Amino acid sequence: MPLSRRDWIRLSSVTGAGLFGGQSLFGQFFQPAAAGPSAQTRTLVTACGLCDSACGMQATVTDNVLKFLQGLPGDQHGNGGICAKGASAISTAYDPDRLKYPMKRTNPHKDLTADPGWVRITWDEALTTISQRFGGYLSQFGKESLLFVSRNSPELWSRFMNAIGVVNRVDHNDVCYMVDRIVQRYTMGPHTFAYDFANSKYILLFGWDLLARNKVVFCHQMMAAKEGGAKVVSFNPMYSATARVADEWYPIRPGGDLAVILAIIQVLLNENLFDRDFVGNYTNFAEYEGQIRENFQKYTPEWAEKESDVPAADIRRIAREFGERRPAVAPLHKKTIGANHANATQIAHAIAVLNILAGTIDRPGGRYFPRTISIPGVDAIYPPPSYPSKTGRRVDGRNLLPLAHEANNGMFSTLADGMLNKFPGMIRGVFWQNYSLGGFPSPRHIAEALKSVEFMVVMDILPVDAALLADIVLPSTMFLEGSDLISRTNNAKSPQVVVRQPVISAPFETRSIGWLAVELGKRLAPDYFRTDSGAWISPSVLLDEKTKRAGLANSFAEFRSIGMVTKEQPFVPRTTFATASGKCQIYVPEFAQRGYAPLPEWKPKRDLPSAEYPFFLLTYIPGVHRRNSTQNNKVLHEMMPENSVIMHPSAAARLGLGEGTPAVVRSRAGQITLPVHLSQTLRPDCVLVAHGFGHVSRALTLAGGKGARDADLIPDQTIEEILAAGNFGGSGCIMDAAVAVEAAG
Amino acid sequence: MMTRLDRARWFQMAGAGFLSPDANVLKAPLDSLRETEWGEEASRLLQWLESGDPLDLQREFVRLFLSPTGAVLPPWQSAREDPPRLMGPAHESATRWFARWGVAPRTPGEPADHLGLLLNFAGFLLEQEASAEELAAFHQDHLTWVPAFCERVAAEARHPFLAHLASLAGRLTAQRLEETAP
Ligand code: SF4
Repeated sequence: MPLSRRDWIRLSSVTGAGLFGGQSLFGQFFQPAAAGPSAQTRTLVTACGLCDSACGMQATVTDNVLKFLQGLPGDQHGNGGICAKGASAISTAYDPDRLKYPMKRTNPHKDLTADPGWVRITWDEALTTISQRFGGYLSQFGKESLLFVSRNSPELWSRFMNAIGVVNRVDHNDVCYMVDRIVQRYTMGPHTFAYDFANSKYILLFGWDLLARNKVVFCHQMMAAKEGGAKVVSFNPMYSATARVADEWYPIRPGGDLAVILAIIQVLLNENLFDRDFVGNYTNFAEYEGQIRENFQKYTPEWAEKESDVPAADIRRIAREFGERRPAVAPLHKKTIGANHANATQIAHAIAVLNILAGTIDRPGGRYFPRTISIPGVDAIYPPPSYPSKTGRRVDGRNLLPLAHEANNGMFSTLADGMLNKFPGMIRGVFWQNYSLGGFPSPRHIAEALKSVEFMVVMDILPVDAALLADIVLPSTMFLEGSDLISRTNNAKSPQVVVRQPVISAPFETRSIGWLAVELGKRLAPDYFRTDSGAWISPSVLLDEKTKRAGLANSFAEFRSIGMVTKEQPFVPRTTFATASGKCQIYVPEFAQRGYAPLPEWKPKRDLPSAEYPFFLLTYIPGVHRRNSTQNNKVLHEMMPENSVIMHPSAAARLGLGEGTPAVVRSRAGQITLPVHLSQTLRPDCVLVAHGFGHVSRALTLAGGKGARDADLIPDQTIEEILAAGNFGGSGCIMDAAVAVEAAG
Repeated sequence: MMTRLDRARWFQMAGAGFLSPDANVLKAPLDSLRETEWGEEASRLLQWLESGDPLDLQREFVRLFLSPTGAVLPPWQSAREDPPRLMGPAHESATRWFARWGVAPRTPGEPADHLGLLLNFAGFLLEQEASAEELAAFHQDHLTWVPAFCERVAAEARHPFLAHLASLAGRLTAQRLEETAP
């Protein structure tokens, strides 16, 4: 077809000299493209990436613009639903505050308020600079000189850290599920959050407000349990969302959970109300019966009442009901009580014992191990040369907690002490990924520590506070722009894998952490990033290979169109368990060998109310927010823009505080100012502050400066304090504080 | 009065300036714009572009538009609308405009409603002798926010090149809006 005059002019304008002679100015920014309208709407299957539930989603996309997200029918986690956080992820994808291009700091002065003097750099310059700086530190100061504040995933990233021998990788799990993971490993096997509530007849909830946390998988299951006639008993200092649907609610004293659990175990043992078949055949009860019975004998309901304010008669009755109404379960989940207090290790162990005595480990109605499709990892597909040894000092002292060290999780709560006091100057380079300062207890200490490092890289989706201290900022993709195979874990009696695929293309120059791993790997540890043929590992080829080897499809592209694979199979309960003895271990010999209590024993929480700090501090994560990462999301911001200090009206009245009065909340760690909100729904000796607010960075247009950080009230720790408290699982004590409240000004 | 083609060149230069304030890109166009009605402005821009530390200009450009710790004035039409966002209706509309004229931005990750792309495309439409109706429609769809935005950039900018570029782009656009108003 001959070119029209308009076509001819257009082409010359784009490709030719244009208006200015030389290269067309228009053509430098535009290129010829197929003409005509192209509006095309597609629906793509993917998996949410905001929390580990990874609910299946259907994304409606028109011309590479995401229009709508909804649940995926048949998905075992979301069961066709998603929560407000998942549904509003579009607002994060299209947040104008998103990090867009690699940037370099030109102002050497580091301060949370100083202008960093950013200039844009290419990815190539960023990669070269990072490799040179990190490579230089490694050769000059050894492996201990680098700190990676980052999860141990995805696996390409993990491979990169292993390949350069990172000694100091720190993550948030000491303020999350680490304690439970450690305890579960030695009492029943690999860690799981899979609960079969739908078939439970009795559910004892200590602290976990699973409805308010809004994880779809657990909400659906809890409602199914209620519909199936389960009795739910909630112990929580506040009348939580879950407490509202429970049959009984006990406003327990913070830290008293352990006492109640120990007393319930005492009743179960004294009255032989445990599952004799399970306990006899699949646990080490018989071997240690004498020690077990003796250990719990002293924990009477009357004693527990004094520590918990739960009436002894109720504890006794609940214990009997728990023993008799089977199947029964006492779930434990992440930041409920599992990480909150210095006695969290004992709580996790005591809850494990409850579940073992109930005989519901990997049984209907209990806590079970997910049935999964085996997906080979990168090291299976491309076996690496042996990794270098991780020699060097551990900055957070985790090596002194062998169980935490072996779990390879943590430690936020001791990091500042390590960097500022124990090993000042040891950390030269920091890689900081997807974490907020507000996730640390005493975040000001961490900020202080970070100022002291020579070179810091921050990679994130949004301009988090830590970016203010960075030398290089790298823009990250989010889950809607990434690819993965997601195996179901929280509701997986039959294996199921859901695709995660880019439903929109990565905006600006955002890149994934997997891509970064390969690019830095090529520069710093090339031998670990080549295939047998000598080619560089490609994340997309790797994904193809994993898809094929897992039997999901012939290629990842094919699996993208399939979306989800479920392999229905009968649920066959386990008869052996992945512990040293092959049995569920009530008495943990490995704990005894290390000098720790082999059976759960009473320990109080760390910070108790005093004349100076008369209130227990409680914190919570609101259901509409994902920890401290969604406060800038427009939709979620509208639902909850800031936090307040929530008090019982009687306590507030004694202090002359009313609804909306600005109040200073003080602890031995620091202070914050927030308006008071009055509520009858918590104990008068507690104050409650929502987590996730108080972002320092004004670059978060909506969230910056809104509310205050609960973490400023939480004392961080030294490793010695943890050891002295017998907190051998290394709980980060993320709610263990006592506070005073007074009118501001 | 400026000729159609001179106007087109000014729009394209302004668009390029907001996308890449780089002497390598802008020197030749600014040189040639010295012959136009706003020749003195072009000389001034050229002088500011070439004097001082080029890093200062890059720093200020990032501070205003792209800072990872808080851009002062994000330069996307969707980000200036209520509610502010990226890839909003303005992006989709701009994409449709570009597609109708058989062109697409070279940087696929950049939303189509970036100020620089819109100004550049406005120049392209003039160059292509788009009809008065088409020009008026594009201006209504995509340029009405520009004068006020440029005024803010001119007030905020701490580098004379960017301040002056913004004030010229604002004037140029305001004039066109007036001329093409239905
Ligand atoms: S519960 Fe909500 S945030 Fe978590 S994966 Fe599901 S939709 Fe996403």
